[in-house]
Amino acid sequence: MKHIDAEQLILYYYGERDETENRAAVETHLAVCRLCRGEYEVLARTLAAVSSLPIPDRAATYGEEVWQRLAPRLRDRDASSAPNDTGRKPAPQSRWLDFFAWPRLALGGALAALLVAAFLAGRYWQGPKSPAAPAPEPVSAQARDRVLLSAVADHMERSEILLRELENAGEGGGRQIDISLQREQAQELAAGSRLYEQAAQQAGETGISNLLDDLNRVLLTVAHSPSTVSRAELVELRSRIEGPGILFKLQVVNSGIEQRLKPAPERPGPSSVQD
Amino acid sequence: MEQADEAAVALAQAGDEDAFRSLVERHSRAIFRLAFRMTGNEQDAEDVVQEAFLRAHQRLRQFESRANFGTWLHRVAVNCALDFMRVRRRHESGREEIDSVGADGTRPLPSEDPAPDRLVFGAEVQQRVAGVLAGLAPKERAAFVLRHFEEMSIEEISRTMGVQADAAKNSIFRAVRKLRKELEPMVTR
Repeated sequence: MKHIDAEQLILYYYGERDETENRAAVETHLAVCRLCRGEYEVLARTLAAVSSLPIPDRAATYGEEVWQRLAPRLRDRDASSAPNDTGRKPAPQSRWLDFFAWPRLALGGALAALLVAAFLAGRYWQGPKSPAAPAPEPVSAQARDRVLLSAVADHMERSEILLRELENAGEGGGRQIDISLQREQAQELAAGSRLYEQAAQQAGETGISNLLDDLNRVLLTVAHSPSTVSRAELVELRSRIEGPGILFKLQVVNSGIEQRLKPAPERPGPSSVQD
Repeated sequence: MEQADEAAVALAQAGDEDAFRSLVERHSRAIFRLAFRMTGNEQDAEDVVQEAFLRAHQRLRQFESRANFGTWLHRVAVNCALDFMRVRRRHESGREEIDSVGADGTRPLPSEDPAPDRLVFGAEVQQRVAGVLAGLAPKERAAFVLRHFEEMSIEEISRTMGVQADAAKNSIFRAVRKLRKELEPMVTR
């Protein structure tokens, strides 16, 4: 008798639609197999424990409070895009929004530059020459490479989300499509892209470096597009994104990086054990 | 609620601030719950709520009137939370990688393993759950939260996160495996 593997049990627990056909078979098996029933019970208890996680309460007036904080920021944003500013003091921004706010371009580049500088310094710095001076604990080459790979993977993932957003932008909407936000994000990402490419090249990651080069071209295309585009212009922009097959390449390379960053394999579950 | 949303969205798309306000007031609590489950931190969740409504306002003209506003807003919020988690993770991992990455490249979970006799089912289980969730990769956590708490199907999750269905499924599997590994000793006592 073939047991039910851990993944099938998860899908069964959640009642996934594509597993409907298998439900009856799973139920029949669970009724007769003590081992799988035990596995399922542990899974159900685990997920029930997750459901017990409390959420801080929010009063019925919470929506109003959110609006009170949001409204001045919306007005400030409108005012800052208008030709004559009133000089009103801008509303306080949240901590991470500050981090992402203007100047995105400079910040994106600065972060990448910091990472690249740290990476290259670690790669080429040989430590103090004098034997008397205690050398600081060196960062291992493995740790440095993981920092770079993790940052590059993050950069690629953000770029992929941006490009996918453009692929889905304006579906069923009006004639003019506002892509100003995507344009700003592309500017920010392009600023970092070149530096990541340089670091990848230095690290001997030629495949990643070539992909970052292709990605940079696509990001610059988006960054130099107008804030509002017509449907025809959007189609043209999409074809320029899809042309070099960048989304597919990003997925492939990113999944390769994820594999490399993966921790040591975990204890195997009860998958497909034969009686 | 859907009909009320439809009317409010149409007015808000035409620039009516009160209409957008009514949408904010109606959906804030649900977006906060989602944001808290994604970030695991009250202040971070508040930031995600603000950013989600800011982005929603900016992109409102792109919203199709025949779609469900709540679903669309959830999608915007999920992406805000993902962006937030990536930034936070990058900062934390950059620091941790250099300071204390293990020889095997693994990162320890935030909470220590208490002796079994000291475990009290309840607060400690919750603490452990929060610890495991905090240690998940952003994609794993997002996919798991959407499946487990928001009860989205894998197909809906893949659309919301802009990933392939298999990738969404694998993220959920990985998250559940990690949760099970950490929680099994507690839930089988």
